[in-house]
Amino acid sequence: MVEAAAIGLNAASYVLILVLVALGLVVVFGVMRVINMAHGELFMLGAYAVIAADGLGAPFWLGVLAAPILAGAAGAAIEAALIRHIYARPLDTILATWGLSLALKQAIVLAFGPASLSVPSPMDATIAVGTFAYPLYRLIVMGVALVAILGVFIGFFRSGFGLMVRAVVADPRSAACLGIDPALVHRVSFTAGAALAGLAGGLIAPLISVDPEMGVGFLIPAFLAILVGGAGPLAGVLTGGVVVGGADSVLTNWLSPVLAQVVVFALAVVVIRLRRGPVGGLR
Amino acid sequence: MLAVADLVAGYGGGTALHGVDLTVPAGRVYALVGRNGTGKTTLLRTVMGQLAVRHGRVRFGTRDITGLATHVIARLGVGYVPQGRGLFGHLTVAENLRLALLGHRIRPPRVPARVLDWFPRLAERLEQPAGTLSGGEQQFLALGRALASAPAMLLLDEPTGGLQPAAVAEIGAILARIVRESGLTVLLVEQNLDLALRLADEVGVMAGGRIVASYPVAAARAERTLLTDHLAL
Repeated sequence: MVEAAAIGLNAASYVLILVLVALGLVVVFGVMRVINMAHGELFMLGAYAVIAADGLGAPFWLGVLAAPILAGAAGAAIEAALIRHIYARPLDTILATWGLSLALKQAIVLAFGPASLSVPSPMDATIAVGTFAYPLYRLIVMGVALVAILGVFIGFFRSGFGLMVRAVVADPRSAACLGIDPALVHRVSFTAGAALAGLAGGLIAPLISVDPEMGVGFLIPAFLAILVGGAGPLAGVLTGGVVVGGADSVLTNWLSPVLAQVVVFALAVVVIRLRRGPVGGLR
Repeated sequence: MLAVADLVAGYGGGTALHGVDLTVPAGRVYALVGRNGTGKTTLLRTVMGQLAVRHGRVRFGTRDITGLATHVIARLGVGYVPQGRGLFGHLTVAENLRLALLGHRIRPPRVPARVLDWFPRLAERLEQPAGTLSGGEQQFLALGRALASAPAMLLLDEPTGGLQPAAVAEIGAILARIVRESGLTVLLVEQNLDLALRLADEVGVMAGGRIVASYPVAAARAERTLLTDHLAL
């Protein structure tokens, strides 16, 4: 019973981080039809923001705050320098962002070295219910992730900005005739997507080893989650995240990590085969 | 209000406007007639910043708006109802109206009572997806949305295009009322000569990417052959 609760909570925290990463991808793809291959490296930047803050002796939470800001700023710069000029050409954006991911990884290797680093957990406290004790930090991670997911939902589906996003996705020319700046909507969406990846990376930094290759380890499950979840932007990502992240996290308790991933991939293939309908999108 | 001087523009390698000169004084309605493919729609789209100006200037009020982005021109007070209406069919009537207010940064984003007064049928259908409205109602929505931000000028591209005769009459009546009550400046592209003559103060004829003739409406009404000669195939 106690063990099952721990497995369940560990899976939930992994799922929520995965959903944060996947939501960033979905926002960028849904608004701009851009598949951002550098999304995993924005996640990595978030984790290294926490490493850097730790190295400078700054408080841990300052690093977590800096993570989405840094990744968001990087996203804004990437949008301005790269995406804006090629976003109408899907294949080019995939190649360009893939190249960018290589460059970002190398930049991190130059700045921090290739070895994996770690930050100490900011708190040792645990929350105990009877004989079951669970680390407080993991619960906080889940809470922050939930709030961020809710924020995305409100921002993109329940706000005036969200309405403008849907208008720009459907018909940018008509939206512009109403005074809406489609380029601004793109810029804000890309920045928000990048910031989500950065926040996920910052939050998870104390729980995993931080290295320049960490991005792909979350990018691929995030893609899988989106494919499994299918249409319906938020509900799709949530269900996909639960299936992919939950299965991976739970199976790792009994199988080797590699075998667990193989099973998850097989599961994803089956789900995608069974499911019909489009993927992603904010309409 | 709107002054277009020697405007040259087109699509891709082709040129559709070959030096258009046009002035619409404040508070007046200028109707542009002409056969298909003479550049009427291209002129509106170029004024709106959707097509690049290759030569010439566009002035709106005291400002030179040549080359400005579409959303900037819209925010300066130019409303545009394009051919095909440009509605968001999957969004509701209320959402379509609200977008105009959000885009113009009008706070709070509440639709002015005057717009719903002009188009009472929209008020009844606020929560309905725009795509489920009848053709005439969709045109009401397109007009209401363009008017929601209280623009100084309206560019209308064939507001009666593809509508049933009853809806055409309704659109004509409501446009006449809006012009009368608001004193709006209008540049109207219209194939329906009766409607154009009813609304306009001045009628221009477009052919081959230029305005080849223009008449005060009284002259055009008295001598319809002035126009029909140009429009005949």
